[in-house]
Amino acid sequence: MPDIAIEVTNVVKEFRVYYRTFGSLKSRVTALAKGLTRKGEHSGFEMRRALSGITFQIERGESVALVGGNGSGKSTLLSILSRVYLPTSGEARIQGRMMSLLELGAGFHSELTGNENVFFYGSMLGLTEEEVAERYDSVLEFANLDHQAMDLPVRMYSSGMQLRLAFSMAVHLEADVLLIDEGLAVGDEAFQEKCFQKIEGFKAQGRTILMVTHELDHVERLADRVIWINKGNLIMDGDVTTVLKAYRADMMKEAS
Amino acid sequence: MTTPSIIIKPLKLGEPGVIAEAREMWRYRSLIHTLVRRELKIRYRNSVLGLAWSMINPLVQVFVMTIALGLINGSISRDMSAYLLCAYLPWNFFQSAVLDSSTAVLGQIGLLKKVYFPREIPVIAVVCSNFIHFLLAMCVFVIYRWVLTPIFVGWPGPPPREVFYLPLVILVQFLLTLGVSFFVCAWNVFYEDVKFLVTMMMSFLFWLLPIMYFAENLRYSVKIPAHWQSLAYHLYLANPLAWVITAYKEVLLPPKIIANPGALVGKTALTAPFDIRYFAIALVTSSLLCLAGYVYFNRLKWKFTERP
Repeated sequence: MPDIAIEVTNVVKEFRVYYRTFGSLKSRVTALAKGLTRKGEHSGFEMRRALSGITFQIERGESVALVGGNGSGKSTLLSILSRVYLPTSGEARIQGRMMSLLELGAGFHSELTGNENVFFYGSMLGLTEEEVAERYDSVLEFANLDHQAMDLPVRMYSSGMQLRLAFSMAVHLEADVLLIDEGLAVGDEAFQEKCFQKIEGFKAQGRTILMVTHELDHVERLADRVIWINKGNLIMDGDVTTVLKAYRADMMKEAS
Repeated sequence: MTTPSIIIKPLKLGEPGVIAEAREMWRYRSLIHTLVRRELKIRYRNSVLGLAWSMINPLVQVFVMTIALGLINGSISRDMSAYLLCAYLPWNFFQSAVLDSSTAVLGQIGLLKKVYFPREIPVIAVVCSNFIHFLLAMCVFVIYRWVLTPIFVGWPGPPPREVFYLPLVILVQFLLTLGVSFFVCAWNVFYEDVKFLVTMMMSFLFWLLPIMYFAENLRYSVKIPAHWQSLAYHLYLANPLAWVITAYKEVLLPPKIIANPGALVGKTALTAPFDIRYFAIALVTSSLLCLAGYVYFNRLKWKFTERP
């Protein structure tokens, strides 16, 4: 029996799309009144399917890339796996410690020092303070930051420094399953190369990676398998060259 | 080898249950800790006086209130400001915790759309950080009452023996505040009017609670028919928040003499001492409210990131 790390079974996600922004009580009351007077015209919102029944399995140690055009549902799928949304129906199962890197540095607060942010970021991802402290030095080393910089508020950092710190935090979490959303293109060439090596190291350690990216070069370098999603449906699931060839051809067709 | 496994599927009503939710929240306790520390640091980061603002603000407020009461009544008893301060500080905790928690989730919604952590954490952190400000302010009260007053006025006497109930009164207020905060926070995610509504209701509540007056003023009020006065008083104190405010005065300060009760010129009445029966009522109601708030919040929390 294969060792399954991520199992996605028939996952459907529907969002409510509102005709009007439903920000306030007043708009709700007025919408209700309109609904009463002009019944049947529209009820305020409609359901839109972002994912219509996705099924796949990823074995432990595999590195899989999700590709698809804008609005294809790949980020929604990743959000469901990282428990930001619940699926409308279907089930997903993740074996092992999961860590999700949806947008690096999302939790950084600009008024706090790098130091404080590291501890905050760590505890937001579910680590205890001791666990963060254990990783602290190697995080700094990987991000190329010194202790002096760590005592400055993050607003004084360059954007590259912030991203480096965030990515460095992320790769030191020692998760069994990593979900990465567009998080690879960070920093300068040298740091990117370092990130790639780190991810290749993860693969060598038998960790499972599921990433979403538009950079097909990254896919070719890091992924063993590609899943192509379009308009909420799984189009193709297979090895890198075959799927990317079909995907590129489709993209060219759409562009012309 | 046992590895933790996460199952993600739509939740049925009542899943996964309060205990499982609370356990998950407990797993993230260090996040509450860091969030509280973060909030304490950020609030006064770029101000010179820093944390002292938490203490100066209520002091000035109470000073103004004392003056105003003195002007209205013509004369004022010497220790009225102690009773005002002692009621105003818990009120301030309740008010700022509830108002802050109305934006606790909404202010972090961008983050919540990126990262998973139990959604109740921001609310709990906001209540906790306001609680710490409250404890600091209570220290100011203690200094005011038993350090400054003896120096400038004279020894006010020790607190009554019921002072040992103080931690329990604080507990009741914490549960109550947390429960209300859960409701307000969850509603405000979907209807941002809630924040403005709550802000407005706070000014009503301020006069509805025994801050500027005593619960006993109600008991002797001429506006209420004589045979209803006692019932009105009991009903009033059955409101846990009204009881909490009164209880702080009862456990920290001696009973106060009210002049001219029920417009009986020349007569006086004494405020009631701490009554454990009201405490029992308040403990039960505020625990239930806290639990109800938590359950309600959990029912809505997965919808937060899908708000329109």
